Amino acid sequence: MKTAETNDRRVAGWVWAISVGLGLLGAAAAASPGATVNMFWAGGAALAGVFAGGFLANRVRNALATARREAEEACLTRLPSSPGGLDDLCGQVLPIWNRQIETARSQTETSLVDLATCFGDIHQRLDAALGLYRNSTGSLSDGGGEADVMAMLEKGQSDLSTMLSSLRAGLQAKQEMLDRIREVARFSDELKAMAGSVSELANQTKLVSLNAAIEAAWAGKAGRGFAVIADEVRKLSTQSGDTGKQITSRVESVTQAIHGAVEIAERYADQDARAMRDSEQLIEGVLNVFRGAVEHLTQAATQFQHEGQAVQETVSGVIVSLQFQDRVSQILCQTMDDMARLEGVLSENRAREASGEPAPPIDVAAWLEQLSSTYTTLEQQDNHQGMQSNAPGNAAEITFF
Amino acid sequence: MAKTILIVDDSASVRQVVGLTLKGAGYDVVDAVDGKDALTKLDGRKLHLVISDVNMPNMDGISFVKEMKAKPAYKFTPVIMLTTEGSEAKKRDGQAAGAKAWVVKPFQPAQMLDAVSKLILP
Repeated sequence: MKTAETNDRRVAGWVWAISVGLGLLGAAAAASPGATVNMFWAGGAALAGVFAGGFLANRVRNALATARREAEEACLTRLPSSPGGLDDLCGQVLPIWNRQIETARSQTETSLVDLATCFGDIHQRLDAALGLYRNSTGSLSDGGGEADVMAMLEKGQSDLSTMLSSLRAGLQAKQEMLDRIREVARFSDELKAMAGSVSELANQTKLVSLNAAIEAAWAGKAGRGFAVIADEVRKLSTQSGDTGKQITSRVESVTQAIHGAVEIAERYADQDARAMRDSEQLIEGVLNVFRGAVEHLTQAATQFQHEGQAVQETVSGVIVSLQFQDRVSQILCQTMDDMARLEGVLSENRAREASGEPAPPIDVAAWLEQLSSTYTTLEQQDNHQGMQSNAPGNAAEITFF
Repeated sequence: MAKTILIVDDSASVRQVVGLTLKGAGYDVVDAVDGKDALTKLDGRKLHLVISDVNMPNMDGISFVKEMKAKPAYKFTPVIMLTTEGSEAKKRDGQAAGAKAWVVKPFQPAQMLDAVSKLILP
């Protein structure tokens, strides 16, 4: 500003000097020997030149100051928009930018709400699936359910062992019966021997009766009665011998039958013992398969639960991240509001200019201060201060009152 | 019976996220898009807690909390302010209006649920 005023003064000085010079030249010309005017007029012309120069210099300086002030005011009024129809451009383009931003913002919001819904649905379904799984398996993976299943297996093993014990007891009873049958077989042998003794006794008796008959014959008439007795004894001995033979025959039949029964019983006993051993091995094998299946199931359940929880945590993280949309929306809305404010001011200024009224200058500092007062996030404040801020603040800052 | 929480936020995604977090923890949820909408949603309803944004169109969160607390039925209903604002001045405004906690977005579900369980009415 001072430089401009110095220049004005310099220009005015030159105007004044030229005017005085012209006046002095006029006076010199008037006072020259060939001139027809006298010194009075020459002095008057010189004084007039000095005063006119001063007056003109003052007018020129005032005119320059006025022109500069008007130019400054014009510059202030048109500062944001003056060159090349920037006002009109801003007036046209700002609403378009505003609509574009709003479209992008609303599309982002709609899509993110859909995304949040989808992730929320995944979260709930996963939660339901894990809950259902926990209920159906008795929470195998936390150890309690595994213990339950193992207890169930142990009870099954115990029940099967009890059943095997019953079968063993039955087998033992059969063995005892077999021993009894063997004893009976031994008795039948004794009976056979006794029947043989009976036959031997009958033979001896027959010999005795024969000797008695011979002796009765030697006795003659006196021995007739004795002969009859001897004959009867012989008949009895013959009958006893026959009975002994019959007993022997029957005892042999019974013995054979008993031995056959013993043989069959022993064969069945062997089969039963083999079946018992096979059953024990089979039951043990089945229980081992079940134990392996339970262990595998437990490992799978643990893995499933861990993976399910990991996915749930990831989905929770995604849901948290989706909150960025709210911050983005606030930043965009605030920017759009300020663009609309600028558009309003430009429109108002254009209207004033159209009516011949000068537009007031825009107070940039006040504008920025008002802009700053509308920020809601720390990123906006950082950006305003000229620090590029891309990340939101620390999450979950909670203050209790 | 599940406890009911009113969520007031102009951002649909935030309503969605807060709703999911609370429903997952077994709470019933009612939501409103701004303070005015929230006042109509009160309607004598039994509320165990309110979670409200601060900057909203039509009626901001601080004004809503003041109006809600002026109603005898909701005088003791605990309020958590959930906002991007973190300035101490705003927090003081919230406290003066009757809020019990101030949570800056974005929130962690576990911490939000912890705050809810500490403040919710029995």
